[in-house]
Amino acid sequence: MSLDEVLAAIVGSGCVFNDPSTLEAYSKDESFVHAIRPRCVVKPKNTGEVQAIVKWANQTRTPLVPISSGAHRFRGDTVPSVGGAIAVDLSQMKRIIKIDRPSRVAMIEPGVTFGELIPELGKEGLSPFMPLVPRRSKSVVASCLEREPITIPRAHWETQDPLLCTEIIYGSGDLFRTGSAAGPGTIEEQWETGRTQVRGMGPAQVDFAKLIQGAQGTMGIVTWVTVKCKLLPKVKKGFFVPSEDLDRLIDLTYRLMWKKVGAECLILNGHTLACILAKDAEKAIALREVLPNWALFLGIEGAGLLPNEKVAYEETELKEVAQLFGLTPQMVIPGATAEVVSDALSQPSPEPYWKLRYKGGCQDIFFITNLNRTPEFINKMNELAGRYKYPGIDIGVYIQPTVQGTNCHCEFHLSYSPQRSIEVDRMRNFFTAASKALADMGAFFSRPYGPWAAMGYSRAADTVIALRKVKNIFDPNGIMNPGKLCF
Amino acid sequence: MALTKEAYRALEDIVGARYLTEEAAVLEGYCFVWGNEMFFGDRFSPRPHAVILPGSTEEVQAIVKLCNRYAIEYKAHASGFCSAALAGPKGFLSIELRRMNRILEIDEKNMFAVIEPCVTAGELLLEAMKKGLRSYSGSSPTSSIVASATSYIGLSSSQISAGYGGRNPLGVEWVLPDGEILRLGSLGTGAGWFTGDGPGPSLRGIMRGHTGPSGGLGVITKAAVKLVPWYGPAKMETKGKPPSYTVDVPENFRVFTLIFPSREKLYEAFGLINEEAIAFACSRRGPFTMVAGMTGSNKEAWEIWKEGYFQKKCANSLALIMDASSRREMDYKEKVLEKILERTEGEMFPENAHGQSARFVHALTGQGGVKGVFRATGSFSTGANADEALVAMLKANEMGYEVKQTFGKRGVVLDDDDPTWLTATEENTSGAHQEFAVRYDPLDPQSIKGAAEIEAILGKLWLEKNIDIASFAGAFGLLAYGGKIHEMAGPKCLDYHIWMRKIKNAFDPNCVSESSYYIKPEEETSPQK
Repeated sequence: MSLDEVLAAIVGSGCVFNDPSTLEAYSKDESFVHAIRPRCVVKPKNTGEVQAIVKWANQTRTPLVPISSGAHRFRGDTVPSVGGAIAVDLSQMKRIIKIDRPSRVAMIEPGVTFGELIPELGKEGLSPFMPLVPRRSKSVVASCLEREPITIPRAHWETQDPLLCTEIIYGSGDLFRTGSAAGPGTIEEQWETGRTQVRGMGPAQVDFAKLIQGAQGTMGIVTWVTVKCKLLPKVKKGFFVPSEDLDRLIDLTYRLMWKKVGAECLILNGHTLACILAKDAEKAIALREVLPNWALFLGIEGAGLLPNEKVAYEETELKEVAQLFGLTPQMVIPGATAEVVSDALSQPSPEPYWKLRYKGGCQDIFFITNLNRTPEFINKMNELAGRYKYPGIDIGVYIQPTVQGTNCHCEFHLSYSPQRSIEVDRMRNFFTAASKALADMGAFFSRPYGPWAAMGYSRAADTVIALRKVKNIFDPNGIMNPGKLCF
Repeated sequence: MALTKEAYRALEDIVGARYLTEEAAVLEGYCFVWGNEMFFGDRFSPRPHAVILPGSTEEVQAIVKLCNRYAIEYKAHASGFCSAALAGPKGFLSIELRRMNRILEIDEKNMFAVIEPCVTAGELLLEAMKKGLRSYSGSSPTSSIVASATSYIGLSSSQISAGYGGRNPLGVEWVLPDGEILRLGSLGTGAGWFTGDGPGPSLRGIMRGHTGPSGGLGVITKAAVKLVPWYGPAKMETKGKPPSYTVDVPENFRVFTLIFPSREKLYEAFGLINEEAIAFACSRRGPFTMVAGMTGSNKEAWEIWKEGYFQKKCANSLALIMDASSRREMDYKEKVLEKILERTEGEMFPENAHGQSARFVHALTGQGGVKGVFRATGSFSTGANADEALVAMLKANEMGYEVKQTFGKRGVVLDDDDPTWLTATEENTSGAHQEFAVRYDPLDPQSIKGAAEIEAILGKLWLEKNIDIASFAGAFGLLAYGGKIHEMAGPKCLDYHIWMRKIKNAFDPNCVSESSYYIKPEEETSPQK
């Protein structure tokens, strides 16, 4: 049998694609990762089909590249690094398997997007923890597996949140479930006992989910996860705290983390805020003119028994704390209302994706650091922008406190026009040089996409040795997304 | 088998003669810990070959490399609270980490501390409080924060607000079983201690799971751990003498005992308290634990107990402590509590200032927990634990309570009427942890046997009824010893034990990191899936 026939026997002939335009689409993304066409694309519909594909790939030593989100993809992790790979597109696995209100948990397949999950959770009085205005095609599962930061640091107890349990077909072809989902009993039997797969740790003395998260599909293919959800707010209020002085906003953020006030808490610069709110480049430029250089956004939610009282007390707390730093929370600032931002933060981005509206292309540089170090990195970016002829005013900045304020995610959005080769070349050089310079300063690229992998792992030989041992256990034939990370 | 002269001399070369011993009188001190009689039929476990006290990471690494060279089994411990820390079926080199006891840094703004393994929960708390912070408490003020966060269990009385210990580590420095050093997360690239995850997959997943490897996978030499806000004073004056000391409950705190008309109502209230995020600490306590906690002696406790008042009034009670950074926040939380009590027909049980203080100290430091479970009979076992959704935990309580009562009524273990200890994993997280305290007499073979039987029955029952893997899935309890729980539970849980064994074999190729409470490095097979 030919390759196509073998795969068609597993997933059905309508779910195997090898036409040139499809292969071309899967050969690249918005990143600078070198384009390589997959041998074909398959779209399995369930766990059984995924497992059959992985087993077959082991027999034939065929590389597999798992993909959950739709286009546009940005990180290079779903672009094959080797020839002859099969792209395993999980976008047809769209079941929301279970939503449990008392446990505030949802079990979902990889093809479910935020836009699909939000209304279903809403029916149960729940809402998801969101990353910053994800694109419409973004898979919730992929977001969790990539450790994208959520915008509510208070609920971010550790890096793994909001991911709980997972079901995975390891590279070896074995099915496994992490956390309490491993057992005892089947998932149905667990439900009967009242269990809802809410304990992400384990089973036993290994935290298997942590070895899957951040792996860019190199350990196996995840077929469902459970995610922690929150109560749907009954009352919501948002506040900007604008300032020209980032340091003051950082001090305020530390205080808010300490007092545990508010839900969403993040800092944006004027350019990023303009890109999120404006419908096109022209409007973004106009908006940027009137927006403050920096704004902390704090969302306040009342969802429980006394929603109005909750919002009222937190609002007063916010105002009092801000005053200590000479700052004033506002619901309206020139060019924006907090209500609009609050709504934007609870939904995926309208099309076109906000990062692409400004110039059609965008490269992100993001890493983990401490909140008080972010100004150093911003200064470095501004310094390098001049050197690489990138307009400093077009650098978007997003600072997200994470792990309850213990560390933070710092992200730069660099818009450019992919149609202009001179801009592409400049961007490539700027992106590479800036990434390296920031890493040299101590930026930690915990999610090492593309060139960041070599940069990060060259500084951590002990980590590489340990990760290769892990890889050898779960994917002994090295079929899962070869060429990524340090594998 | 004792160490060879050559090996002993080589170890002595590393730490100096002062910090290495094989004196019988000293070794015997490492053989008497909680739970031994359950495993060895004797209160004393086999002696270690020797005890060594390294003072630095470099010394730990040199010791571990030497153990690999001479095929010497070793196990490190910090506070050494129970048999999992100190005991094995035969002797090994005991690496005592007490010289590594420095708080290296407290980052006030970013709310974390970098500490060595023998920094106790109490020591870290006292230093953190000066900066408006606290750590999770561990099981007592003398417990090692590093051990509970990285290597053992990690439960604490206030984990609803401070986090489960196992979810708190950031950067970690780890001497692997073969002697190589692994620095987790940002520490590995030289960026600092602020995260333990990445680049790429988080190797914290190897370091520990729901529980840690209990010494079966090398030695943790330093760790950064999260700290959380502390709204009390920088220093508190204590009154009385340990273990019965008290403090004045700070004004930003409230201490309540809540009582409910039924278990179902109690569980409903417990779920709401968690959902509303109003608790500093919240747990269900049995009436006996309450009485033990509030009294200074067994005699005093018995006088109260025989009146039957607490059994009647507090059969379904929750201990709740609330904190707030302002009067306004406390007002809000008190109103929410009022609503919860209305809905669940709960009431506040009157408690005097002494009782409130004792419970506050317990929640903050873990102090008093030992009194609650050890004092009555001299020991207790707690293998029947589980962590999952509240509904499942209620079912587990009903099943387990019946079994425990049967043995209690026979007089084999203390007939204490206590249901499970139940505590929330973390604020806003719907899961809960529960376990039974079985108080037994460590000098009475029948009582020891009874406690062991309860653990075996419940361990089996939990698996049959799909509750959870008991015995903290390998870190603690009779069923954990020798990997028995993994052999029982693994086949019911997608053969996780086979994956664990592969990890053990990959990271400990010479099988020298003692594995009695982890998994034995036996021949690998493939998972049957």
